[in-house]
Amino acid sequence: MLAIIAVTVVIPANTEEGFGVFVLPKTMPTAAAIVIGLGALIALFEASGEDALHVGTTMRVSLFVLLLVASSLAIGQIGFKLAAPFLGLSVMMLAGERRWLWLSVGSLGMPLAIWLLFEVLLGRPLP
Amino acid sequence: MPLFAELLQGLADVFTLAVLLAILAGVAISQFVGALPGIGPVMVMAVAIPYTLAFDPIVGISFLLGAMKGGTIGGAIPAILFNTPGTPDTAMTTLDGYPMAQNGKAKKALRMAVFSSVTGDTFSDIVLITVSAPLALIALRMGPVEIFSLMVLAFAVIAGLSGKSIGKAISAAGLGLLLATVGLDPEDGTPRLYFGVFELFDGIPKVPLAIGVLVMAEVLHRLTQVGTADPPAVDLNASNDPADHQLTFAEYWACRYIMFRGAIIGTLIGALPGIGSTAAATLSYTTAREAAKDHSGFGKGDIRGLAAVESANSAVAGSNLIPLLSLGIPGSVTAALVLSAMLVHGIQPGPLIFEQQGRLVYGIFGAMLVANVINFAIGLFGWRLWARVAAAPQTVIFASAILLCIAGSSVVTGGIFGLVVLIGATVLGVVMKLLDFPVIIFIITFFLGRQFERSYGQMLTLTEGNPANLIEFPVAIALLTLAFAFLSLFAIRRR
Repeated sequence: MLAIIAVTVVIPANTEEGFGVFVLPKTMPTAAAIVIGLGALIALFEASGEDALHVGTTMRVSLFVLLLVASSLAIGQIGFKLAAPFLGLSVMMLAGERRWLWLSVGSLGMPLAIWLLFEVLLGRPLP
Repeated sequence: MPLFAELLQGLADVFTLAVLLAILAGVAISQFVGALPGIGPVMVMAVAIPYTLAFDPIVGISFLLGAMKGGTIGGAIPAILFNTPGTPDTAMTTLDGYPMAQNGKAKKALRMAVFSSVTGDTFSDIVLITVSAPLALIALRMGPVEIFSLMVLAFAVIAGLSGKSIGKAISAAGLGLLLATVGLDPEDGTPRLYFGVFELFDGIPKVPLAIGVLVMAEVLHRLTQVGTADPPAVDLNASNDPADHQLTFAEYWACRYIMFRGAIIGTLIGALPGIGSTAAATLSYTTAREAAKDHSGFGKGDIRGLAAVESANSAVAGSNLIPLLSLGIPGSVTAALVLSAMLVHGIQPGPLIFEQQGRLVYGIFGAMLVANVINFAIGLFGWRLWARVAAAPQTVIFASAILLCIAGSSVVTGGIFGLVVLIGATVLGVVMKLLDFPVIIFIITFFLGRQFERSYGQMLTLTEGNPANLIEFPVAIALLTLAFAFLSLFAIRRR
């Protein structure tokens, strides 16, 4: 379905005609989308009961992804140096870590080490 | 520049303080990370690529090569001590390594793992050094039509061998190609699929995408499974018999044929795209067990089983670079990451690299051999430390990995855009992982997408857009037929 939408709507709307003789700008994206669709069709025929998603894992991974998205927004607003300790702490807490020593290593020690490595040693500014 | 002078200069480049330190750091960090169950050299390499930008290409690439090799030993440590493979390819190491540790022979097992690993790795490097240049000479005789067909064949083999479903592998390959087309069209520079985001004119940045799909997705997935309990402690001095701790030359020498066979298996499998070190380790172990006169000890702590596995899975590392250096086609994720680092540094691997960057190539060869020596030394003396590391909580390690990935991705693209790509790639990687789509074929087609499109354009120009004109290119026809045959064969065997 995604491949059909890509070939019929997304690719034509977002590529220009170009000047190529044999290969137009839309040629390769269209071919790639057709390959995706072809693969999906084959996968449909191959489908077995084993392909079912594990709900528990999916939910937990989604939680971590949401946390990551929220942290990225926070990094954009307040910068890496302030947001990183909270991200480190949240990830560890969500994973079940409760020992304060390890929590402080991951949420304070590591952001500090990264700051030292990038900004002090390598001279590259963090966002 | 004469070949001999380039060779000497390349080797001399390795024996500079910066390169030696880079190799040392790469090996040490990768052994350290490899010792942590679940994460391996791929993570170290992907996260390190942005950092290598601060250095000369030979320094940065040497670090990555060191990291590639360090993981081969690091992964064996938790496999032997805790029955938990540090890297997927050390799953077979647990079969005889852990029983040896339980029998009070943990130190002997760890030493054998180091010796056999470095033996296999060195053999593979020697093959790489002797084979890749002649192979590149053959590749130089190929035109764009043959190169295009060769890439189709490589994609077909990787798609066929990776993952459980051929359909999903084909879709993943298509997705890699599709994402590679974002940005300016290589034919006439027309912008496409950039959705108004001008940063995408140069395409989707490779490093954040690789980190997101390969590392972040894996870390998030692992985070859902980690426990906070410490692994069971192994008493390294359980036996009072010194013979249980030492590895004698006689014991090493007795395994020479097994290690040699393992090294050959690993080298051959490593040179083929898409198969990987886990298959090499499994095949080597099975072959060693079948060939042994008395195989009753295999699986119960037989040192021969350990030698077979470790020599084979380590031999994959060197030969993985054969298709990359000679043809410009990476056959594994680690090779794809080396390719990515080379591209970031403005170096295009492929047959011309021996002509245009001979000094760098010989530097790479020298760095690989030096990395083996350092890998051996650190593995032999550092395992006590790594054994402690392997007992560190994974929650801290994974949280640290996430912070490193975010910092690295932001720095390599110069701001928040890298972070946005990283998050998008992470979501994509997580979805692919949950739905069991193979990531390796996606990454390789994404990295080679631009080159593939260029070759496709050149092929159409040469054949005047008429497939019937392919008849003038018999090698290309043979390669395309092989690709079709491979895919059909894999599809039939899966049913």
